[in-house]
Amino acid sequence: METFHVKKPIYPLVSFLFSIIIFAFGLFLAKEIALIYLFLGLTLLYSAFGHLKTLLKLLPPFALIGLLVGSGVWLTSGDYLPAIQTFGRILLLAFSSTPMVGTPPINLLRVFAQWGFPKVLSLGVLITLRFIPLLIAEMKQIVHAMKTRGIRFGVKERRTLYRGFMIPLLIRIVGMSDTMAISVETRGFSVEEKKQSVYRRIRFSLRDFIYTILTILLMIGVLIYG
Amino acid sequence: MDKIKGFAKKSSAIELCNLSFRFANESPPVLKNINLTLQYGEIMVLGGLSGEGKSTLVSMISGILPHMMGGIAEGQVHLDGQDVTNLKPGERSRYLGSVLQNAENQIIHQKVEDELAFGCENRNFSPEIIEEEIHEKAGLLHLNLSSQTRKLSGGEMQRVITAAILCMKQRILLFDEPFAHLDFDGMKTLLSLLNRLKNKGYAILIVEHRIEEIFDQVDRTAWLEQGNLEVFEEKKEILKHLPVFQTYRRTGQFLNPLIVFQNVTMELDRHEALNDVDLTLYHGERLMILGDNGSGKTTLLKVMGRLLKPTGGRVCVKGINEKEWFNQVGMIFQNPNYQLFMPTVYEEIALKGKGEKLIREIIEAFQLKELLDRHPQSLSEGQKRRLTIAAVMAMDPEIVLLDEPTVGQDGRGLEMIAEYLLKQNREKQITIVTATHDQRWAKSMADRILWIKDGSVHKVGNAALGDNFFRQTEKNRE
Repeated sequence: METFHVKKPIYPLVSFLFSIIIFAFGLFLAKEIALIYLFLGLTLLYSAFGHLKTLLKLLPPFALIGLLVGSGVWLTSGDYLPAIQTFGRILLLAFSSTPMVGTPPINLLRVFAQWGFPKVLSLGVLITLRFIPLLIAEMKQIVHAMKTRGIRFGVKERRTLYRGFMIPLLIRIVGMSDTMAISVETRGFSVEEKKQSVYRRIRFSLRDFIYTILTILLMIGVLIYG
Repeated sequence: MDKIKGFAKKSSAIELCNLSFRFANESPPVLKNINLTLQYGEIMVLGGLSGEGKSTLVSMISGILPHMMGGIAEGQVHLDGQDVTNLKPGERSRYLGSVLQNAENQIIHQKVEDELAFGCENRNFSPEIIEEEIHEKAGLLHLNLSSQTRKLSGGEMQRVITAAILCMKQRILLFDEPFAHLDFDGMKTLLSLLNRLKNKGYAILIVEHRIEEIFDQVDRTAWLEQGNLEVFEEKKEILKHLPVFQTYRRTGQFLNPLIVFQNVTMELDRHEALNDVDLTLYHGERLMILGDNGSGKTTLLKVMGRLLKPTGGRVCVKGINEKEWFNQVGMIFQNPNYQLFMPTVYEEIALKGKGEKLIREIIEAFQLKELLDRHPQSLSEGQKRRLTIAAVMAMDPEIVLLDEPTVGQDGRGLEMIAEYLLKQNREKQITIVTATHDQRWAKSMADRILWIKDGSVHKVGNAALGDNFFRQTEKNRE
């Protein structure tokens, strides 16, 4: 996930909020040509705020999924227009999530702590964000481990494949979540304990203000001229 | 205790009164009526065979058992004179810092700096104190605060977790196999740090198998066997429980190349894990890979075992059918949990076992008879590791690649594994490659030493080079 992070992230609550707003706004425009204007405007905005690389890294996998799902829609409906709209909606996910994905999770957690958000929310974010990359790494390890025990990926060895891949994966998921919960708790994190300091405070800067204004102006512009 | 400056506490740091534990009503007790007192300004080491309840005892003291993982507990736990029996681990963390096994799964944040700050933030330290603490502890444990945690080696992760706990400044510290993945230098550094903390009045309880290597640095010893704890009056009494590990050195030449590395380079996450490695592995030899944490030992083993494809150079294999590669080359991972997936210990060994005779022989040799019906995941970490080695050996491989085989292994278990591997090496000329930090294993099980440094071959030599390696790292530290 670190590969998506930008050098100067946007204030986490702003990026979090605008990720949701842009997604909802884009869905509203999904059947309009204005969606393309929104994409173009966001590309320019992200370039100006150092998020272009993150967007370019996110676009290929989303475009691939969009093509696959869009093709499915085309085949079932027999019409290319809904297929293009579906493709657009999936690309919208990449565009809307860019500022959020570019923000290191620790910034979000620290902002939660600064604003006094419930700790259970931080815990959820903490575990989820740590869990995904860990799980990907675990899956690779399990595939390696299967090979070392002489188990191949093949139709003939379905049963051992199930045991060799699914069982360790499930056990690792349970084990990892247990260990992580223990690690968090033994290091003094408690949802009941309200006092918590913040090592590096995250501040709302003029840059974040400009980003907020420009995003709002972009959406208004797309609505009026799109 | 009164001599300790600035620390006038009279109460014991840890006091366990008649502590017993069982996982369920019907199950046998894992801990039986344990009584233990640890004073401030003391280091105690707790030894015992694998699966005898050491980690359970640690979990009882930190409150993980029974509060988070269930089970039936009796007796009382006192920390710093307070009865904490009913307190959860989070509340106990005010008194107690716990460094548990499997460091890689305990790391939460992406940067070392944030990982170290996490506990301090939870303890509500001011940013200035956090800054001071994390810089001090990172310096002491040779950590780079801006490193990405995901890219660290097993030993480096262990150091991160240790530093993260030390930053929280609790005066009672609990370590479950803290030296397991540490290189010699890391082990000595941590030991000297713990001694400094002891002199400042900290109470430290260490669960460890490599007792001989830390014996001089501890004040008291205890041994846990079949759920009963024996605290020794004289610390040297623990030595009677430790088997003398044999040295199996030999001289001779190996002539038939099996695997040849030519200018092998491996790039992982834009970092050169292996750099221009030239190496020949010979049929029937025992090659020991030594090097500091993060030097590329595991990567080298994985390339050798064909789990990773090198990004540069060539690896040539002679005399092993490529299609049969994974049936003829057995690899033991650092973490045994990945390699166990059958419903019973017996089925695990039999899965790819070559014939009932060999399976029975292995069960006997690895003393797994009593555990055959158990689910592999219910075993202790040391037993799991023994089982993975047994299961791989049941495949009757030509090459065995072992990554830190001694972690979690008590002396007897280690001797058992060594004896079996050596027998196979003598009788069937199997080739054994090990990456380890364990001096006992390194000194006893090598025909040839490969010393790697920053991903490159630093030196290659006979078994005496192993002695040089450990001497050199100690000298560098001094």
